[in-house]
Amino acid sequence: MEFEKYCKIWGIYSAIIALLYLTYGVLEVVYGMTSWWLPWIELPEIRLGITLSVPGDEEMLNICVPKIIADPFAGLVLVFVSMIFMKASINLFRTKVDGWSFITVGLLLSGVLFTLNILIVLADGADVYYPMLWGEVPEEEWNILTDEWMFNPMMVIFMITIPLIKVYKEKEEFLSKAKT
Amino acid sequence: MSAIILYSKEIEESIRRIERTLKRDPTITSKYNTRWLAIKLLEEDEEVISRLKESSLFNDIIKVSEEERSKLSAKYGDVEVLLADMRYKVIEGIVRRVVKGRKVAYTLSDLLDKAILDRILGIPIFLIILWTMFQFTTLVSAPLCDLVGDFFAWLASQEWLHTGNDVVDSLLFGDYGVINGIGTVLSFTPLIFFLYFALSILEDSGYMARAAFVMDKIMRKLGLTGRTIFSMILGFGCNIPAVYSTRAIPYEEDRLIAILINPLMLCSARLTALALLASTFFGEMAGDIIFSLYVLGIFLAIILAIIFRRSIFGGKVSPFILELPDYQKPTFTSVLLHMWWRGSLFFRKALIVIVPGLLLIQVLGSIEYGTFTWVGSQHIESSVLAAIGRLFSPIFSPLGWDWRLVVAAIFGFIAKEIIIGATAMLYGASEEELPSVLRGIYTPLQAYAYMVFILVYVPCIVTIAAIKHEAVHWKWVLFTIAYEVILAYLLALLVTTIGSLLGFG
Repeated sequence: MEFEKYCKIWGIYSAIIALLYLTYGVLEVVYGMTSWWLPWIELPEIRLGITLSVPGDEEMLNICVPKIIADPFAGLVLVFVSMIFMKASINLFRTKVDGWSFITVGLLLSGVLFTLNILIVLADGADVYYPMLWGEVPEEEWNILTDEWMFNPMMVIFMITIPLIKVYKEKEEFLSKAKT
Repeated sequence: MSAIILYSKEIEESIRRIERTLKRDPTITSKYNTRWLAIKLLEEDEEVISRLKESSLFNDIIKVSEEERSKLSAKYGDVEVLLADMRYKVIEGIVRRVVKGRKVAYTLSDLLDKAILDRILGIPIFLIILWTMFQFTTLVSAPLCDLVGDFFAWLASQEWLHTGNDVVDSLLFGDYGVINGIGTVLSFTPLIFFLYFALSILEDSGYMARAAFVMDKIMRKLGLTGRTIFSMILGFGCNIPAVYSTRAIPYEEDRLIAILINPLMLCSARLTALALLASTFFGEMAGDIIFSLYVLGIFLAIILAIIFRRSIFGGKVSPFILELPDYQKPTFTSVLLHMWWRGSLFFRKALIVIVPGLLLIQVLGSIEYGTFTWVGSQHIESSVLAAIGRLFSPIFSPLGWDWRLVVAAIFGFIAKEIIIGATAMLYGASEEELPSVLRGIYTPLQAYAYMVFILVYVPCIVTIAAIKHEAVHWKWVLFTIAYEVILAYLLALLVTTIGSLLGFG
């Protein structure tokens, strides 16, 4: 495939990812700010994603994936990641080597945020179940699917960024063909 | 043969305009190359500016060069960086033409730096990394912290350890006892190890130097040098090595400012107290509350640096030169070793400072004020400790804190880790019970105001010693203590007042 066309296709893909991060980021900032600092403002519940339901288990019903958490700082982080992918997209359209740099850094940060989420979910579970180490019964119930950090946008959008690994692997191609 | 570097059209126009003004003074043209002078003026070169002071046209020259510089910086940012960047591009072009047979190779570090050191996105990337580090530290370490706390509560309840002597047993194993106090303090060991684990990864990977570089542009505008970010980030771990690390700052005034503002960085010792309060009053939002305190600490440090620079020190920030190391993949062993070396200091500090500190509180809490006889910690309300707390209580009554919180803060002067152990003792609660006891007495707003106070007020005694050692004069030590106590009180009052007005009371 012609290199310019290749860059444009991945540029569009990167822009879509940027848009996803931006949408969920802005929503988390808005919902976070209202629930933290302006609690008298009641915003309608937004379910922007796929509904996950398991028949027969009420707890698992109606989980929206990705799940927006009301946290302005987490939202701001998503907005920042979106800016990185947007800049990657712009540079890919210009067939500049910087496109590779921003895709790589964006992927790295998405991966770090994904790992952080997984660790938090596991820590939440461990926090409930560690008394079992000395034979005690856990005081509360915990379900991985209903954990607050499970399915949050950092976790879900990372899955969509995985194909960008293909761009990361084309470092030499970028160095030889892209503008510096 | 001589050659000049031609800059972009706009820069060349600026250079020509400054040159025209310079050429009006023959004393300048007879001594210097006016093009070189014009470029140096655009770079705000101190040496050149001071030499031009002899010229009768000095004011005109400065006016014109400032106009041109602000015109360029409004469009391109830092003019000095812009000019350096253009010179490097010329060098790159020459190298490309004269070095035959191989391409100018970019290393992986060069490529990553294109994004990580980006003029606009460098700072957001730094903030993402900072946020991730704090979430990792506070949320992921939580089950291990609880596990250690539970172990000490179990240890204190073991009858076979008791000596049979009421005084010794109440001192060591009572609800107010040292074991419970130490348990409360040591339950934060995992949190500290997690923080050092994250900091070690950042250092070993080579990102920490980039953070200094990225922050330099902003820091210079705020009256700080980029190197200050090293001591500031180290301050997140412990203020003591952070104060000593300011030796790397070559200029005395920059160094003193870095020392004076360092105690505002939220160190791991204060984190132990703040993490418990945050999880007690804010639950799942604890990580973000802690993050907001980190941001507040940085914000205050910057504001105070500006004030100190303008009011006490004056002058300009020294130039920033830093060699960026290549990125490295941190090895698990080296990260673990770094984490252990630093984290184990916490254990040593626990033995040398925290345990004696807790014992002192326990003894003062068991001696009756007035008669000065041993009455046991069950009568803490009439103890010497209560008398000390009540002495200061009127000052803190507008903030809604009782004498116990005041005493805990006072003893935090010995070591910040004591605050939670002391609070648990003073409220007669174990580490497990403390959150529910505190929730029953204080509102989240009062707790947040207390957290702000703990963040800002006096550094611990060992940090004070480090400040004395590095700043040499006692006046800087006393100045640090005075400004921090006043600032902490005013901020806590501000949080309480504004929060109440907004209906959070």
